This record gives sequence, structure tokens and C-alpha cells, in this order.
Amino acid sequence: MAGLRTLIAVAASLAAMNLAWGQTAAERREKLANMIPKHEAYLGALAPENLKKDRPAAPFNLTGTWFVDLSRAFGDFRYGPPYPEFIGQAKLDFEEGQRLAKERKPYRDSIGQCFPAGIPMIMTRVWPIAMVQLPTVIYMVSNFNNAFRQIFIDGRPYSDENTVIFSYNGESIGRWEKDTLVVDTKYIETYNHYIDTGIPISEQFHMQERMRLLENGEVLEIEHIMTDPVNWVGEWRNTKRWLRVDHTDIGEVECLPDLNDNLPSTQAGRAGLTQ
Amino acid sequence: MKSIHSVALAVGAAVGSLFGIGPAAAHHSTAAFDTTRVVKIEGTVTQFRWINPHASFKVDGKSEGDDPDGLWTVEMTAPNILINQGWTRTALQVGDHVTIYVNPLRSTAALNDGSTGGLYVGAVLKDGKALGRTDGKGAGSSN
Repeated sequence: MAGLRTLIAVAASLAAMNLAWGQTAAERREKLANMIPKHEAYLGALAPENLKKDRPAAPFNLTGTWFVDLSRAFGDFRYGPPYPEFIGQAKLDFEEGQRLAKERKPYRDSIGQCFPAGIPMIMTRVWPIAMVQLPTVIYMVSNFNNAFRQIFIDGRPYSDENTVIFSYNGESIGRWEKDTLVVDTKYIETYNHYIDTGIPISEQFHMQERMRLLENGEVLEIEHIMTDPVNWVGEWRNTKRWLRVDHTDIGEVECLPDLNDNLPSTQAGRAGLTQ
Repeated sequence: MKSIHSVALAVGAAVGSLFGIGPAAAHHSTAAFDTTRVVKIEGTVTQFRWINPHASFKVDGKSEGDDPDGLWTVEMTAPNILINQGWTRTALQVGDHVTIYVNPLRSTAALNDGSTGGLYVGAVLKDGKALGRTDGKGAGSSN
């Protein structure tokens, strides 16, 4: 019986190899082309034809390395207080987070378990962020776990809501309003994605960032306007600043599978997470 | 120059305040550690990991007071920050005899490998060089 199974397996492998060998280069190319997501209606952000399109000059360029300004208070890496009026489960979760913080106990330490920080928290990790601005897109790479954001500024529409893949930094599209870059972000993954101490977000979470460059381009100011009708009432607003840091570069940082084996605190940080 | 100065101030304030408050912003919360207490341990280094976002090391030794003897797993902040405190990639070698100072975990439960957990506060290296706080006081940082 085992011999027969082996014979069948070998025959199947040979048949598959024969099929592969039987393909022409053009057929293989077509097959490979279907392995990347495509948007036929508009060009990619790095397509030369898109990059060289005639556009009004951008009012400013964010290219540089930036570091969140926590000089007023280290706790400014958080987006509150003030907090909006939380509702439903978010109200209970917020109260639980506040209670445990008073007891100095971890709550929903999802980042410690290697879940992505996601927006907005990725912007205020105490690590530099590299930003590269092109005519069509702004790329942001946080030094923290090399988390990647991209803000399309080439006038494209949002992805189709039926096929879009939600992500922790969402899909961001920016437009210029005089000297302000207005960035709207949606399609944000919610799984173990929290703001501050365990405040949940729903798929209706939306964030608008109003970005300005101040002090001769040395200071980046972002006003955040966050809404999530499932979890809080009205707008949650907060303004933060980043400082240009010219004598540093970001490096490679990964949350390795065994990282937490050597970090005592993270072994206590699973409380409240969705398992 | 003004901007470089303000950056230095901002970084200094941020790093300085790391030693005074508990919640971490980088990889996780440090609320699990009792930052009001420092444990001194003399022992032998069995592991040193110099990697972002956190360095860490293990020491097998004897602790002063009522805290457990044996293997301790010590969490550190990012090498990015440790470099500015005098640490290097080769500061610890397996087999080195060292004295370390840590904030212990609030929970006395052993870690997955049976060790006791602590947050780095200071160390006296094999060659006698002191890094961090070695006066039995202070709160570590995991940022």
C-alpha cells in the first residue's frame, strides 16, 4: 500500500513538472503577473509616467528623519487626555485600562506581543521616522519594527471596499489645502489594535491628519481628528509635533519570534488581548 | 543650531524621563516591574543579546536579600539608547562574572524558562566598569 502511494506521488510530481516545463515563457509571465495586485485604472506611485505628470508644486516636502517631540511630557506619546466620551464596550475597556494603570498592571499590551502598533500609535513610538516625499506619494518608515506607511498624493481614489485588505496603518490619501497636507486614512485593521491603554477601534474608525511644516521646515505639526461612531462620540482631537533630526538614520528592527522569551515584562502583557 | 539644540533637549528630556515613569512607549509596558525596588545579583553571564528593539541578558547567580538565587533574565532598553550610556556589543561575554542591579517583576512567578525576571538598572562589568545606576537605587527603562 505504501509502495503504491509512493508511486502515485512520484507520478503526480512528474506530471506537475511536465506541465511546468510545458509552459511557454509568455504563459509563465502571465501567470506571474497575476501574483501581484494591480489597479488598471491608474498608475502606480512610482511609475515614471505618474511621477513626471504636471502638478502644482507641493507647498512643502517632508523628506527627512523625524523624532516625536515629547519635551513637554513623556506621556505625550498618548493621544489623550483629553479623551472623548467613550460608549459601549469601549467605555468599559477604557475604564478597565485606567483601573489597571493605577494598579501598575499591564493591559492589552498588544505591541509588546509583536502586534503592529498601527495608526495613530506608530507615529509616537520613541523611535525616529524616515519620510520620503515624491510627487505622487509620501513613504514613512518608523524605526520601530520598520513599520511602513504610505500616503498617496497623486489624486487616486481609495481602493474598492470589497477587495481592499485592511492593514494596521490603513490606506491614506492626501490632498493639499493651501499650506496644509490633509491626509484621510481608512480601511484600518482592528484586531488587537488599540489606542493608548487598550482603547479599541472599529472598522468605522477614520483618522484625518492635518500636517504643516513650521519653523523653517524644522518642525512637523500634525493635528489628528479621529472618529469612530462605534466607540466614541464626536471627534477625538489631538495635536502633536515632530522635530527634524539630521544626524541619525533609521535601522533594521524586527520583533523576532523569540524576542519575548528574553523580556520578562511581555510575558505579563497578554491581559485583555483577543486570543 | 537652534533646531539641533531643541532636538537635543527633546531627546534628553524624553530619555531622562524614561527613568522616572513607568509606562513604556517603545515595545511594551514596563508596569510589570516594581521600579521602587532594586535587587543586586552577583553571577555569571549565560547570554547577552544585543538587538533592537530590546537588548537582554541572563545571569546565573546569587541575589542579595530574599529574592531568588539562580537564573535571572534581565530586560534592557534598545541598544540605540544603551550606546549613549556607554554600552557596547561586547560589554558582556558569556562566562563573565558581573554584578547587576535590577527592578524585579512584581509577580514572583518564574518565566517560561524557569528564570526570574528583572529590568536593568545598572551593572558592574567584569573589568570593574560601572554602567547605569549601581548604588542600589533607581528605576530602569525599557524604552
